[in-house]
Amino acid sequence: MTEQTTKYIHRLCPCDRCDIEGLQSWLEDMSAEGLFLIEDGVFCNLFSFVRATPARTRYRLDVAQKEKPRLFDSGNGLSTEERELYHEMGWEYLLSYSGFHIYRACKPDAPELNTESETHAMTIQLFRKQQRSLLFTALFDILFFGFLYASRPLGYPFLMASTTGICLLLGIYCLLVYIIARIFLRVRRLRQYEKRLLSGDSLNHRSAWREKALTVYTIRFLPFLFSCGIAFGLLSGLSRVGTESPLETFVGTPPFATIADTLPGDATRNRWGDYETTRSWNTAVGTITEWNENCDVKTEDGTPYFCILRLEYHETIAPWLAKGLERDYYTYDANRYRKDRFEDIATLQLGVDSARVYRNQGSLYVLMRHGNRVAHAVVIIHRDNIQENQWMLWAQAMAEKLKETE
Amino acid sequence: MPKKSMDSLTESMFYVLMALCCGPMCGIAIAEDITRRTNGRLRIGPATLYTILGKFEREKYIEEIAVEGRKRTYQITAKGRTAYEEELVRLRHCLEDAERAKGGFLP
Repeated sequence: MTEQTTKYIHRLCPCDRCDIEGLQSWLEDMSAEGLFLIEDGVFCNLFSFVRATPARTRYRLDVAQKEKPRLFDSGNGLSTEERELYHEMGWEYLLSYSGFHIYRACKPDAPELNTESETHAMTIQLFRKQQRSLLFTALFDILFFGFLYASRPLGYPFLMASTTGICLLLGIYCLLVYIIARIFLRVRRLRQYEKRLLSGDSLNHRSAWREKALTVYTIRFLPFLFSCGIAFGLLSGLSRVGTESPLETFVGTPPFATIADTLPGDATRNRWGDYETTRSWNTAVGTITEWNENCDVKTEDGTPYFCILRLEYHETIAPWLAKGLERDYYTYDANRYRKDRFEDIATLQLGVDSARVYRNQGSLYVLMRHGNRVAHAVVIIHRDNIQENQWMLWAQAMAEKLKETE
Repeated sequence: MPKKSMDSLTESMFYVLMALCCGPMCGIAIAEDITRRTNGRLRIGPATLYTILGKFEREKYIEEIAVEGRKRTYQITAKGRTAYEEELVRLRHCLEDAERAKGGFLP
């Protein structure tokens, strides 16, 4: 390594982090092209080289046994004694990368780093076990948080897709699958190394890394893509905030039942101004309309009613999505408060695909589905401070609306 | 045939214990001792040596007795010496079997 220049040349690593053979071969091929890895010359997957006279040089990876996982590789994971011993035996420590130390042979006759396949297998096994426990931890975390927040490992996919859009949902799910799959594949690769070493073979120092490079780059690009999906989903979800408008501004006839359909006559209607709002938006799986009514109504015969209607009305692009959405709403409501506060009241026969009424934490819910439409509502209709079964009026009106627009 | 670790010693492990049986040594001295004893037939790599030293420390076959500057000196323990002796006996048996086999198949 002579005629060294101080200008650094950066190259993206074309090998997976646990591809020991590929990484060693890539670094050796770089040295044959005159690019030599510098000490501590790595940031994420970007390696730094200096140009010098081309000479095929041996590079080797060794499991950093004493190392704790770190966010960034800093190259401090080796004791001075170890570094000196390796140097005396002809190996120069360069950097640490993803649980491995990278060395370069500084003497042509230096013995291999690992001269016994069985002992080498022991270090690979140690690293594989670390990766495997990482895999179990990741799986446990996903299941634990899934159950903690949603009572289901995958949460409420249809509800999420219908309200916040498919990008956020797919982004999150894909990222989780990606993380699990990457760790799993690493564990599998390490296991293969281990088996080969235990059967007496040594690792191949001339691996064909070029053939796999495009796949590695593509795989490495995926989390960026998924993160973009999550960011886009979050931003588009946030962008709909502020589109709420007063009920009076709603143009046309709503395709769902309102308080006016439930209590006709409407002699006096004392609306609670700011609490009466509506908003609609589109997602990739359909449209959603939120409808909030809070009012006092006196019917023609003079009966006063106190009414609250909080409705989410969905029109999905396919009936199976509506089915999933209905299931998600029901599970979500059943788990959102204490289980003992949930009570199934009735399954209604109203001529629609499904209609059910339940109560949770004192609120009465009506959930109805017909074709590709789903109505989910909290209905409170009081007469003389007695609720009785007034919600049935709204449920019947809603069912008629759903059948009308069939 | 894969062996479970420490069921029996590998060749490098055996030579590391052999070197330490002669007295306390640091890592580089162990490597040099092994090369000298085997007339260069076995040159132990640094990664192999450190893996073995780490494993032996965990198994209490050796212990660190001094840190002089950057050099750590190890000595063999009674447990390590027993393991070495047992391996020696096993190898002697192997050798005897091999010598006997020279005379032909057993009846």
